[in-house]
Amino acid sequence: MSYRAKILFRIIILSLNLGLSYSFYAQDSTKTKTKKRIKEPKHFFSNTVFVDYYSKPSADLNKPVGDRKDTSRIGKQLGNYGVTQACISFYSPLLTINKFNKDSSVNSNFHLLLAGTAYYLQPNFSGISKHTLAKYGLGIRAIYNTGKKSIFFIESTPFLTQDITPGSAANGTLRMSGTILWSYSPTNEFNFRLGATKSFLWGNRFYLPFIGVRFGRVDGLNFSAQFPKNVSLTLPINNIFRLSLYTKPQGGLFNFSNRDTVYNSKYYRNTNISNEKVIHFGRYELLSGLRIDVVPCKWLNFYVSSGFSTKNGIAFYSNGFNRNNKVRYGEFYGASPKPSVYTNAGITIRIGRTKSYYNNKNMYEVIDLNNSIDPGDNNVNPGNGNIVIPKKNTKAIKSLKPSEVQDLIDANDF
Amino acid sequence: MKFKLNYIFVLLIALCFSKVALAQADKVDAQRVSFITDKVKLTTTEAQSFWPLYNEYNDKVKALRKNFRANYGNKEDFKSDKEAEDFINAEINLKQSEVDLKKEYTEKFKKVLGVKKTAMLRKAEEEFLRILINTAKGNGS
Repeated sequence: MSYRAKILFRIIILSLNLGLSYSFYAQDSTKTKTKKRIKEPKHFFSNTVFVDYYSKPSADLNKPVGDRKDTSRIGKQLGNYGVTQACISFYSPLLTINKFNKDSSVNSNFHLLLAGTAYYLQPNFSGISKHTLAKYGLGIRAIYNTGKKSIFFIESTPFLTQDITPGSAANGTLRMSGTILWSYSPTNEFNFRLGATKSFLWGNRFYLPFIGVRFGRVDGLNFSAQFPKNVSLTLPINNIFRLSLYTKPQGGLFNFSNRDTVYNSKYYRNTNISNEKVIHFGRYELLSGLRIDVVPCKWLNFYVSSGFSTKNGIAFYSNGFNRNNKVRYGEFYGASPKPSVYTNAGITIRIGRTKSYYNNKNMYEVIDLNNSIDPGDNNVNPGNGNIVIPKKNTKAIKSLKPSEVQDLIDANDF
Repeated sequence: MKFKLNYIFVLLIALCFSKVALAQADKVDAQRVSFITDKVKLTTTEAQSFWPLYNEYNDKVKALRKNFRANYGNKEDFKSDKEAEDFINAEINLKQSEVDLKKEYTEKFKKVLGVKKTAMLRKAEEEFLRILINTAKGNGS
């Protein structure tokens, strides 16, 4: 049996399985006497899982930083540098409180979400063994929509970074990233955000102000500049295809097993006598490219993206070298890899029914805010697939079955 | 490993197709919103207050109808008088609940939109329903 025939056979078997199991349950439901109770959806957010893959080819490491006698040795030892990374993240609503004021003119709501991430990075240095660096984060985010023009957002995601290369025997380090924001929309066409963020995106620990502006509707053509997360020009072609030109930083600070003895304390004064088992690897880059989002339905969207990775920086830090250093790490080796092209793709799946929020501009802002700040400080955006792009042409409804609109119309309306 | 990946791939494709089919009803919902926006000519302030309320109303109506369909949708025959009585009562209760909801929310819409625009909303809903029914009938025949 050929490979294609095998796949076709499996699809047929799977379809039969699905069909049989459905008919079994359908038949079973008519037999049962207990009444079903279908409740209204509780939350505005669905359980969302998104997967992102990123890769860029090897490039030379140039401009090594530092004048220590060990700098050139490390540079030669490392060789070329490329990156492959993948992450899977999720958020899930825990609590939603939705309220109207007395005359029903103001709809405020509060959302509490659980968010998490598992992130894997492979910095491919040609001169040393392959390392797989992981980051596991689990956090909480809270969003309060006043129902007028302001939205308040706070999130905190503690995460563990660890070198999980087999045989590395490296301990993990627990770190904390977080963001606090105030978002204000005086009109539907303009929004600004103010706040602060603790981030490792730039390859080290930074406490940064968060300043953002957006010109244009969130469900239309818009230009958005959100420092330090991204700058983008988004153009929805239609409800299915959305284009965006963007620039965003990407990076992080990861535990790195020192089994290749990248750090050797004998070259540095005032440090431990023995080499350290774990050092820290910091990286950052600025990605500028084009992203195409495909949104076949609000439960699913996927995207492909490509562009240029510039302003690259890598650095290695050691605890011994940074002893008594209470602020960010000082590197014992740093370099600027040459710019290169990159490829990026991702898929977002949303599971479960949600409360309706059509044309609810405040909820659109809440959703955009939640999507633009991903769990775990990876700066991966799942896309605004859950925001509907308005469509004026009712003639576009072409193929309808009565079963598809049974919740909208009454049987007596026919 | 390759074997497992094939299955995951097939499952993902199946999931996508099932979700795309479900999405049609969602698109109709979105178009109804656009249609009403066009017809009722809401101001920005009115829209900000109206849509959350209207969405809540629709979610409630949908939940009522879904409940009814889940319990009585597959009934083609009644085994006893009690079962038939039960169905009749449930249907009347559904209609009553729908009317109650309509009354409750119409009062709320009047506060937010005023009487004229609330009446225009009802007309727009009716017009959209007619389009939907005609489309559905066209496909059904």
